[in-house]
Amino acid sequence: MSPTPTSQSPTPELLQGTLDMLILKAVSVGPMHGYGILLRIQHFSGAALEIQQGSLYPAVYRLEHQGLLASEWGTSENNRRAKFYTLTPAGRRRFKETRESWARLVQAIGSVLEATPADLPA
Amino acid sequence: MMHRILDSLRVLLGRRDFERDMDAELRSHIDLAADDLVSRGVPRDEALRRARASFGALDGAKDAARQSRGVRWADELVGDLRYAFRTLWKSPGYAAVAIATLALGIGANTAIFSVVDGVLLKPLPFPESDRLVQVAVGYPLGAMWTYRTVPTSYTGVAAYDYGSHVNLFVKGEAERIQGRPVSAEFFSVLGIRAMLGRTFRPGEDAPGAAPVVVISEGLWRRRFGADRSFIGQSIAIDGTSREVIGVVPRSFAFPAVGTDLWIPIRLDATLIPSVWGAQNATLIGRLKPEVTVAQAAAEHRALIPTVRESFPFKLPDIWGRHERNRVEALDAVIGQSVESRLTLLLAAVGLVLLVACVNVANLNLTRLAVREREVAVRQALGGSRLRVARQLVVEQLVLSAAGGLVGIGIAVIATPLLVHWLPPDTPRLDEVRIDPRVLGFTAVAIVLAGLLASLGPLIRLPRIGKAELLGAGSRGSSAGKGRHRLLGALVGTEVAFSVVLVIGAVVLIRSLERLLAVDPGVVVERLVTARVTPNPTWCKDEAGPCTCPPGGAACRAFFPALEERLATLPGVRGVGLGSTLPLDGEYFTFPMSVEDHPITPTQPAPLLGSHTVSPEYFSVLGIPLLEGRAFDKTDRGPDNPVVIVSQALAKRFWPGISAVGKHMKPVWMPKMATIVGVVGDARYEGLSVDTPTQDFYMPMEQWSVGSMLVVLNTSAQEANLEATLRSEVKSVDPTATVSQVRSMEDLLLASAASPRSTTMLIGLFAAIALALGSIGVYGVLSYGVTQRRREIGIRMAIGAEPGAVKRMVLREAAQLLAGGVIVGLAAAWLLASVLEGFVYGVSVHDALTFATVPLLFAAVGFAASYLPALRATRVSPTEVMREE
Repeated sequence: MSPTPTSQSPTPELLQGTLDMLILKAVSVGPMHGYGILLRIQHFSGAALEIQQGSLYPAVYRLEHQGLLASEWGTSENNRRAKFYTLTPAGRRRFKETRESWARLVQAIGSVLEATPADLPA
Repeated sequence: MMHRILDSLRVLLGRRDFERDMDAELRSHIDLAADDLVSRGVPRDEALRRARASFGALDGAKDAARQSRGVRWADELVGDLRYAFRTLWKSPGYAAVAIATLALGIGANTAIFSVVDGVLLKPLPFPESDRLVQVAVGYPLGAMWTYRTVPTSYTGVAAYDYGSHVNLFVKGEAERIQGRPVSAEFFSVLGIRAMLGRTFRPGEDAPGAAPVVVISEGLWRRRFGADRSFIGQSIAIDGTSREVIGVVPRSFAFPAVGTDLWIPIRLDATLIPSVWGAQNATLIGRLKPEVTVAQAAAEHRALIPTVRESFPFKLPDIWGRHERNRVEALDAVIGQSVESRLTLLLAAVGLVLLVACVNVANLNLTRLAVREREVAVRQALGGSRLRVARQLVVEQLVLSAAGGLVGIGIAVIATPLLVHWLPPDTPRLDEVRIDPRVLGFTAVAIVLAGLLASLGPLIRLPRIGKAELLGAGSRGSSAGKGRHRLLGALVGTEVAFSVVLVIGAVVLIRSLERLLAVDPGVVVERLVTARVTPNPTWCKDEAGPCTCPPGGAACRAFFPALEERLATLPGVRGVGLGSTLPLDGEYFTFPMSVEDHPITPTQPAPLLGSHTVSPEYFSVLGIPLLEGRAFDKTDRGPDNPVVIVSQALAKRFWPGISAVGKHMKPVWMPKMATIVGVVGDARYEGLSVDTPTQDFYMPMEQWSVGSMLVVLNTSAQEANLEATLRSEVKSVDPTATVSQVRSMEDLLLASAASPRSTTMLIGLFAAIALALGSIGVYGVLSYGVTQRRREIGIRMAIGAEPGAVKRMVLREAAQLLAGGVIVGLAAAWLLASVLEGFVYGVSVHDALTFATVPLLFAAVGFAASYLPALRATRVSPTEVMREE
């Protein structure tokens, strides 16, 4: 798997704040550099989600600025120097919170969409 | 939040590292992406190219990343600051005027706030001072027996007595100093420790306790050479030898600034007059941590009957049930007397700052007009409007901060002057200083002033468009007119604020004039007065007034002997002695039994002003004898007590008939005194009290008191006279003291000290506002003339007279002023009621003031617009044509 090198994403616009959640998820499975984070999100989504490369770093930097990510230089699997991100305890907490509220949101929207005339109040 | 700030700081401080790190990271990202492509068979060069292309604009990403780390705004701020300094440096004239204007406004505000803070706002300088309350005023000392045991609201209650001065006799030198009788709990309730020795212990105010005294650091240094071994020695205070047990630090000055020593009150149940008769004590207390003022107040109210029942004589049921008898926070009580005055000053000086800000906003706007082209170019080049606006605000804040710094300098100089100008009885003046609290206020003032002053340009900014870029803005186009309207509105605002201040000041000045013109009812010229207090042990009179005949013979002999000696001095034309003086503010009333007016349950004993005087008192002070006779040398001894009454008293009790021959006495005296004369009314309660006081006078050889004021009618210089007076007093009694040597004119001025200082300060503020307002008018008109040079030139080319051109500018000035003056008059009319209580003999809506102040503004406006008008007539048509 590798990202299709396009600058225009064919996927729908990500909801505001969703990118942060996805980045936190990608890093939560193990320390990773920026490029790897992109690949992970793409992989986990079955290639349905594609992140604009230019928007990744502002998001990652913002998360680091907020103390949710920590970074450290290391060596990649193919021996390149790369900056690896890990979740801080605060980041882990934040990820748990956003995942739960996301699940609630999805469920709520799902119920609305699945509703039938029988669900109307008497 | 903390993490973000720290992170921003880290990034800012290691700025180069941050950039290098970011570059390396993005490079590594592209390498990794290229590696992926290479592994799928794309040639290296092509892979790199595609990886870069897919990343998109590197600079945009970097910029966004910088912003995420909170760097960009800081970068831009530094840029804005640099830009602000550069532009201000390039226009030093503008910067100087703006800084000076703001410095004046901020400096005056800082100085006044330092006084308000020191006197009203700062917590009292005692530990946990928020728990200190004033429990009661005007209570008998005997109430302490109840308050020591019964109430549950306090960790401690202490009392201090009214008396504030004592005679100190050390090494042959007698001196009148501030000394205060206090209960043994006084220092512990306030939480004050001695810096040397100790303070009072429980029981040291009980009968039979050894006489002790606690002295202030100031007295210890001044009179006793800061001698650490001084503790344990004895000093003579009011003729009693007392052991000095402790020294308290100079910073402690309670209940009055300048208190030199504290002695224990005498809580002796057998001293009925001093413990129960004189109800002059103040009780203070320290609340328990969980008790509120309201709870303590409720308990206090419930205790009133208990205290009333504890008196050794019967009191009416209404005793203690007056409005002022309530528990209040101590700090609130202390500032009460001056709170409204200081608040008025703060409001006035706030207006000055507003005027200053509007003035700078004005300056700014005219300057923006010159810079509009620059602003338009920046906008055309993609600088966002927000960015331009921020730049204007930053520039203004830089100006404001510079003005603030200069203003702090002004305040440092002005505050001591201010403290000197305020009436000396203003509480807590010793705590006034420019400290971090005051500087915090200044910082807030700086930011607010900066924001206010940038308001003008900010309103204007959105309207600057491409027209200016094309040069249309400078030709009196519609945009130019809009700007001019805004300028006019700002000047109008400024003028309106100034009108309010000037009207207030003029009303106060007229009121002060009226006050000083009041006939005090006594002669003021060529009179010198001094308080003389002989050794008090001679004149033991526990109740204040002597119960006839008082004390020892030595005391009764002292004042007549002194009077005789002073009368023979060269240059002295008359000598009078009195226990009180008109205009002095000290005034005592006694409950009196009056013939023909029996005391009934509904008609309690009238409280009348009591004075003990020498026979010459009336003639020296010029109080006219209206009926009967003055006192003479035969009025001595207890057998035939006599009194003289004031006209107002005679009219109250015997309207239409003569008071001479009638009788009256203080309620506790056994024998009625005969009224032998009626004299004119004098203003004992100060100039501003128009209702005459009802007074009676007793001859000093029948009712002598322990301390008298000597009045000398003299042609000698006051300074020489003081030395002579001291030596004369010393020769009669070496332990007697002379204090408060003043001319009667000083006394008159001092009696108007509060209105005088308020009026002076508000007058000063009004003058500043007026000056700033005229600068504003001048600035706008000159700008208008510059802007309309072309129009004026054309008018003159087609034959307009210089006079007509001048009139055109003056007409514009009149329009500018008229709006501001009308709004200002209306506002002043509505606000005038705040002066109620500060004015005497003139309405706060004084018609003359409201009529003349507009004329003043017209005159000032004319002066301010004359120069621009003259410049307009000098516009040369040919030059203007050539410029195009």
